[in-house]
Amino acid sequence: MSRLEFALRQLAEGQFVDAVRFAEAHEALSTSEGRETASKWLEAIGYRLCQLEDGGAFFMAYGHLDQDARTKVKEEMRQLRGRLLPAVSFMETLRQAQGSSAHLQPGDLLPLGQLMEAVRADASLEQRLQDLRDIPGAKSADSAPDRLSHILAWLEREGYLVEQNASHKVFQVTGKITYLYQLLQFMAENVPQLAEEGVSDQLEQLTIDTPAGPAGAAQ
Amino acid sequence: MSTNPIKDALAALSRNAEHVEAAALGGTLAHDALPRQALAALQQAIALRAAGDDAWRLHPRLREYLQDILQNFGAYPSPTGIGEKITTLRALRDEALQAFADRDHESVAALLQQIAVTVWDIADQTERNLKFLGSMMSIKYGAVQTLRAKLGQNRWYQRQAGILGQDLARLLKVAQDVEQDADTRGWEVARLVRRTVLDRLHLWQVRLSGVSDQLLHEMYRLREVEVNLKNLARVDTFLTQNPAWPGLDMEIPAQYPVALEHAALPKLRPHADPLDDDRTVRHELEQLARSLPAATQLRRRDVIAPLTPRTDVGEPPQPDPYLLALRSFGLAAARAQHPLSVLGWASTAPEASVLRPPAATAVRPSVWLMFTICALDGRSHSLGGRPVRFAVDPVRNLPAPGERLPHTFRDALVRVAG
Repeated sequence: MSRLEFALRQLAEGQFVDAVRFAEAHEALSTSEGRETASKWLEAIGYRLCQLEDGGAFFMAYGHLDQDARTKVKEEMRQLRGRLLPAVSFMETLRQAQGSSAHLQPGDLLPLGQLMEAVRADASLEQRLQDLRDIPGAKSADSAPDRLSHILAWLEREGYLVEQNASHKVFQVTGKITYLYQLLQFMAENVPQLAEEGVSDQLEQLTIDTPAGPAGAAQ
Repeated sequence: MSTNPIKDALAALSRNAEHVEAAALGGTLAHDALPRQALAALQQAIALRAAGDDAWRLHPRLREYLQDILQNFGAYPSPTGIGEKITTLRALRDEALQAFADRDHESVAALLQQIAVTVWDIADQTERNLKFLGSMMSIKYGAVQTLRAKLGQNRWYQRQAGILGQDLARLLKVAQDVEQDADTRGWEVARLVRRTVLDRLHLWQVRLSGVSDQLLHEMYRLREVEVNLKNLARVDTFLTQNPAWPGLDMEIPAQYPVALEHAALPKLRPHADPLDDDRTVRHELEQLARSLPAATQLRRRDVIAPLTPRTDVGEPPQPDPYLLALRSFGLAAARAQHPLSVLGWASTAPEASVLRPPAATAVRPSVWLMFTICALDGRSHSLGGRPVRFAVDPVRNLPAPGERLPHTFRDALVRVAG
């Protein structure tokens, strides 16, 4: 199977074809010929090829929003909580931990061992994980590290993370994370309560990651 | 004292390292802050230059060298400006022109030599500055952690790039003037200025423009990061405070991210083509066929024996003649224009022959009369599929002698009721 064929199958299945999880497929779609072929193929079945900003992940979108498509989009909007909650809980926990990358970007590495240590070392973080509800697969009696494992498993199934090192349990953030940020921005613009100034932001201790790689490691 | 001036200079710098460091970081040293011995040693090593009446500054090249070392550390390492050197270049040109006008050829030669050194310094420093800014871009500046500090650092480097841009624009003017004046007088330095500065200036400006673009892009990215983190914190708080909130129940707004239109098809399920003659496919199909469960033996349906008519039944019962006669009378009464006499019909109608002699079924008229009245009066019968109700009116006899009312009747008239 060629790289482009593989890319088209992933698009049809609803995957976000990005440079982290589907490197070769993303490269195939990044050429003008690949984009043209994929666009024609998708348009023939009523869809179109889209790409997240800054050369991000490719995905399949509705060709035009007819009544059927509008109904599906509205249904997804109605179920926004279930799609966002585990990811938002995890990312906010990371931000509060400040022990790792606070602003997840495509390509960032997340060693599970370090995350577990950070949770065990911080009672407030442990309590925060313990208090989280609606974590897929988690039971109320699960410990905080177990809950963290369930969240990471969910993020992997949903395509936000990909396991890069099975023996050391190191995960890598995929390009689909940009899609999540767009959903958060959409919520911020359309949920009236989120526009209120009374929401505590606690932005004073915002941190950003040092870049992955030798330059980052040297710091 | 050693006869090696370099060793002596380095030794002096080493002995007075803290003063040298202070001058490198602060720019100038107050006269009163320097002990007399340190001042003498550093002056001996030509490490200090006067900065006004009561302060000292480091030798420019020594300061640049120490800045190069500092650039690998700290949060705000900065490129070394070339503005002063451009001013120096212009001043040296003016001096050289004056010396040339005064026919002081020795001074002209010395000044041209200094112009050459300054031009090399400018080129060298510009290259280093551009390389420095480029390396800062590649490691995302480094050495700061908070978002606010990153934004501040970005603004700092944007300013540095702006200053360098202004210096390059000034350098173009000054270098062109120097080159023209030197060329007019046949000085070799004209070629040096052309080759070392003017021919490379455009490329420097292009590289600087690239750095500026990167800085703008980084500024935009950091703003996005700021917005993303703010949204993340707010959405997390909102979801925690509103556990029953399922999602957005609203019409799709005019402005929305294209990511909302993300779609997925049901999983593709290809089927094998039974007519495919490819060997691999046939092998797979045969294996698939062999793996099917054994055919179920269906039970044969029992054969139904053909029906044969029974011959052992007797004659069918004959219909009752009186009921047949009653039916005929009912039909006649339903069709009649006037009420029909029961006895009159019985004595004359052909269908009533079974009631009259010599028929074996003959009956007395009074019996037929009572039978008909009982069967029809006030009852509904189905005639030709229609329900018909009859009314019977007796034909009364005259009252018996001595009676006022008749108690007997001799016939009955039947009509359709209603």
